[in-house]
Amino acid sequence: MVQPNPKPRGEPSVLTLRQAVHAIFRGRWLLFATTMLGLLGGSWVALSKPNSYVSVGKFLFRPGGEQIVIDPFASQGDGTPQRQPLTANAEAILKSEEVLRRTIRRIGPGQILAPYKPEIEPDAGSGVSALVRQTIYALQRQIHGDGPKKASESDALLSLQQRLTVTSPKTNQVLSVAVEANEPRLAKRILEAYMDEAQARHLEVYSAQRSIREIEETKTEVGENLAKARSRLDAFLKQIEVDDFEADLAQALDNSRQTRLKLDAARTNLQTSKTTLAGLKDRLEGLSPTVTVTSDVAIANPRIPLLEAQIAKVGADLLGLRAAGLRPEDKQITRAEATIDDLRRELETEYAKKTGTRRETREEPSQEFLATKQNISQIQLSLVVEEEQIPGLEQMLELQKQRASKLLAQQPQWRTLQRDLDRLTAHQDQLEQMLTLARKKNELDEKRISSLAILDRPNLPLTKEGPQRARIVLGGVIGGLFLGIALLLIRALTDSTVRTVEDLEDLTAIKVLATIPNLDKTTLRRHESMRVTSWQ
Amino acid sequence: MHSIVETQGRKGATGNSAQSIRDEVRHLWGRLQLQLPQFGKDQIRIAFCSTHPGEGATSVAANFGIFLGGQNRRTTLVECNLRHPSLADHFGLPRSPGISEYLDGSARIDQALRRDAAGGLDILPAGSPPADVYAALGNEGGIERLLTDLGRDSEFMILDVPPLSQAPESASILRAVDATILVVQAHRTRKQSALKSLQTFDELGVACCGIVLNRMHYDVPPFIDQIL
Repeated sequence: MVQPNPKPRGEPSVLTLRQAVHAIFRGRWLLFATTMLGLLGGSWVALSKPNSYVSVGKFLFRPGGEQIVIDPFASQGDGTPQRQPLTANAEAILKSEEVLRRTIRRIGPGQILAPYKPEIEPDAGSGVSALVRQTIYALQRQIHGDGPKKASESDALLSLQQRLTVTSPKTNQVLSVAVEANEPRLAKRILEAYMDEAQARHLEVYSAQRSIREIEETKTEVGENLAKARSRLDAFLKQIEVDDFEADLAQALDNSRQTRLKLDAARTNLQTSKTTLAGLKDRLEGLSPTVTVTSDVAIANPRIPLLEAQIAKVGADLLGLRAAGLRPEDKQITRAEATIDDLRRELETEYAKKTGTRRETREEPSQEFLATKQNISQIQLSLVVEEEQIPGLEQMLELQKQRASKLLAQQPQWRTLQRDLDRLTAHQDQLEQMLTLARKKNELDEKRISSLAILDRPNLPLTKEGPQRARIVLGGVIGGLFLGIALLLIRALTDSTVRTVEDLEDLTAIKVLATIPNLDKTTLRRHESMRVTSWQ
Repeated sequence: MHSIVETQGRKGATGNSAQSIRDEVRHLWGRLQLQLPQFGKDQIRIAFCSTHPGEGATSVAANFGIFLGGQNRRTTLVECNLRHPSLADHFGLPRSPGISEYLDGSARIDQALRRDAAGGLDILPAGSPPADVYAALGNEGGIERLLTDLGRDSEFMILDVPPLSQAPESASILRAVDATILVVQAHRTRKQSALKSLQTFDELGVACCGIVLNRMHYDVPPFIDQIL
């Protein structure tokens, strides 16, 4: 029978320290290979990983009327609801997806997911260090330079969630926020946008600021529409060459009416002048240029020459009035004629007085003939003037009618544009009133609600936060080392070959008579040493 | 094959290698003397057997035979591994006639046996591989007839037995010996294989005197191993 081992040395599956060390020494080349692999991998990661910069900002949270908030879903164990600091609410807002999405829309997904393209500084010099850095940057550009083909909002959201850190110390009410990016200015920009949006969101949630914002947005929109409507109206007025449509239209209509009246008057005058001229001509034909005057010449009646002089004067005035275009029925004409008749009657009376008169016959120019002739000349002159005036008036009337017609034709469009403008103006005025009311309400509310004030604006990170390249390389080496050791230990655990005398002694009680070494120098040397030490 | 020490100008291990082998074989001999129950009788048959081919049973047997020959003890090394004969080539002997030729009747035993081939060591090579090794050596008492015909001149008869996993004729050979030594190659032979070989010895009723751990090498420097 095979003699069993009298002294079993424990479970075969358990690896002793000696076996483990032997396994590690035995697999030293594998260990070396995995360590080198770890070194290479770590170096690759360290070199290809982009620089990261962290911009930090701080909010000061000021609670409002309530110092605590009750979370109905959390319990202290005794049935009473758990009370949490109100800062938890502010932190929840800072971490909310809405704030992040607004930040992304403000910055743009392309900026959030901007590809990493490091550039060597112009003053980096031309030494070995600069060359190495340039090579590393070229490698990083090669790896990260392309960036995503299409930067979607969801990808940017995921990226921002990973790069944003919100910390809320329990000892104070200062909330720290930090954003990490590959470029310092970008980190600052993102954090600035984020803090603004977070603050706005906080106000929206807790105050009437939301309605103010909505009204302001609506007002802005209405203002834009108003400007557009005004622009359209201005363009329309410019197109039809009008400054004030209503005034211009009224002016055009009035001018047209006035001109028509003038034209009618001119035509009437012309006709009257023609009729008068014809009458005068007829009358002139019936008149003799001279008249035989038989008169008793008073020897001495001083009244007669005086009356005759008055008659001549009034007769000249009458001619002048007629020449001025007064009608025969006008008062001045009739009065003048009556005066002449009176003077003549009086003169006749004086003549009748036979106080030393003598009868005298003589030829004298006919005064009526001369007056009629003079009237005809004057009427002919005015007739020429009136005939020349009528075509000008007609042309002017035509132009004014055209202008008025054009404006009347554009009036519906103008009315539409003006109505839009009036409506939008009224809407804007209404919104202004609403905004004033909302602001007043907000001022009242702000005394009762919490606030989230920006304590520190985002800083511009001057030094990079990462990567810790030496640590990454060291981590790769250690990882490779541990991987190799793990593989070797697994191999040792599953290894069932006979390696030492002890293995055989564990297996059976049969003696090991001899141990013949492998015939290489190292083994022979160690074999000799082991033989010596085995006796110690 | 340089794991056999150099003898009479034959190529083999020299210098420190040969010294180390000799020392270990001397240890083997010293311990074996305590194990052999029949020690002191006319002839002792010792078999060196391995589990799988290439584990070094032939070289250990040859080194042991050379050692005994060097001790002025009449020793015959019998190469029973007809499947992969190698001793004749190593010692610069003609491959045939050998055991195969003797067993098939084409040669006499004195023709096959090379007397004093290596420093007082007689060597009986395997000869040309027969068509049916098992039929030649395993059946009809072939090995018994061979060993009987070799006579009682030798004090020690060292048999190089083919590996157990490969050659069923090993069982017949092992039944004909006084002591068996299992050769195990370090870092190659599995524990289960070694255990199965020992169980086979037990089933065959063969006394296993001990184990030789061959081609041992040390992973850890001795000073570290001592600390552990």
